[in-house]
Amino acid sequence: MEKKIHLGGVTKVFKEGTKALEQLSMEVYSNEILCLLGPSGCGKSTVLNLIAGFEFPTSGEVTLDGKPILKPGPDRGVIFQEHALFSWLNVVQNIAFGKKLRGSVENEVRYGEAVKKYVALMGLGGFERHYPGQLSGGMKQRVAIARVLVNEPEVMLMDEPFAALDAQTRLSMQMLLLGVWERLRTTILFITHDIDEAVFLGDRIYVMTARPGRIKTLVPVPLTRPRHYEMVLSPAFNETKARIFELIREETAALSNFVGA
Amino acid sequence: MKRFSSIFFPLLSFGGVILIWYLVVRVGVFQELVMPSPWTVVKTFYRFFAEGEFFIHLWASFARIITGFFFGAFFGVILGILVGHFLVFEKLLDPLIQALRPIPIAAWLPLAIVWFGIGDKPGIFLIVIGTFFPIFINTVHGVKFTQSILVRAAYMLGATPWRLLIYVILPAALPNILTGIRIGLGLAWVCVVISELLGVTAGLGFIIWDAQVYLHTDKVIVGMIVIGAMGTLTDRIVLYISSKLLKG
Repeated sequence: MEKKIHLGGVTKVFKEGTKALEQLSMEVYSNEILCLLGPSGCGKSTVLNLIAGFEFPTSGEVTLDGKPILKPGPDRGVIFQEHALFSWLNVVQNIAFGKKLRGSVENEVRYGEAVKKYVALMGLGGFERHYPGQLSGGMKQRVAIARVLVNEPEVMLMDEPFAALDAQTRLSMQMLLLGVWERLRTTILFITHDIDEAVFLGDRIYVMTARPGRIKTLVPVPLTRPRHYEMVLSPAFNETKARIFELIREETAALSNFVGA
Repeated sequence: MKRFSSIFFPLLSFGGVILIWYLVVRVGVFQELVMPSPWTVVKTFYRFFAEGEFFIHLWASFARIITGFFFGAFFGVILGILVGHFLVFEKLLDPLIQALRPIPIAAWLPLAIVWFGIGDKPGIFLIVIGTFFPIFINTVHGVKFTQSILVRAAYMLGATPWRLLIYVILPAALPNILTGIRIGLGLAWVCVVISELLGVTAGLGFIIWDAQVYLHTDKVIVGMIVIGAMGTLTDRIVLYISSKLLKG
């Protein structure tokens, strides 16, 4: 498989002296869903911010298709935990925003086509003229995903995108994301602290250590695609889940021993 | 019931004040010269309109406000964006502007008259000063505190720094800018009345200062009512435009 994103020996120390990542190395392959799982505060979001180009490593390298990442760009679409939509634009205008920023006027008809495609794909039909303030949390994240997909990104970087949603909405969003991925096969880096979510969505799962974050273990997910909801009841799902649970428990135990000492 | 109470209760308070006013004058607490009866004020009000005098003065004040407000808002928004968005301008201009801000508007009037003589100009200058500060401060706040997540979202969607400013930071700051404009417009009416104390021959402020000299207290009260009504009207217009701009 082809490497899409590569992090090699990445260390990140923030200005105030906090060491978020230490000698972290990982790969994301083309067309896979890779989940990055870890206890809160372990530096998961920092990994995403480095790939997005919002932040830069103190040492080590971060590349996309072999080229170092220098700044944010539309080839790496980001879905934030909070939706981060533009409240003064309606659904269609939010989705068309990236195209409009970079395009010229004569392309407007083509945007229209592209926007329509992703409105349909994300199940946003009937909400085209709604403003973000009029949408539920789940619908806002659908718009956020459509807004990124319309740019046809190389990778989609998702930072706990469903963590703020209620359990039922979260499940339906996971199913929707899997459905979209089956059609587009966009490479996805999915950050989560929810073990079930990671196993249900991912091809492979990187489990991180407590801060400073490193990769603890790589866990391949032995489930076939396309995924179905019944799979969460399968022995393979539950064995994977139990294994990851144990890995995470070690990390949180290490953390509490440290605090105790 | 809600509709009824929103009409009835204000009517009650307005009616109450007018009734007390009427009784105080009627009993003779004040001389008519010091405090005219409500009825005298109504008659003066009518004459003021009917003779067309009203419109001359209204327009005189209004023209000063429009001119002064335009320049005050222009400089307030432009400098507000520069100071809010570019650190260089913040370091360069913000200390200076913050040092000038505590000077009360009325304190600028003597200098304004020395600089600009008599006529419209000192008043316009005062309005520029008065409207500039609230618009500047609110614009800086809106631009500076645009949520960083929106800035990141725009960059990852392909924005350049310049387009970020136009398409994200300005719309995000618009509610703050409009708040500044509302406060600025309110202050413009204060400025125009102060400035018309000296050196002009027309204007709503001129009327009340002039009428006071001749103890035409009825005319003073009519002038005050008209200034209040115009202030409310212009505020409502800005509020209406704001609600149209900030839909959704």
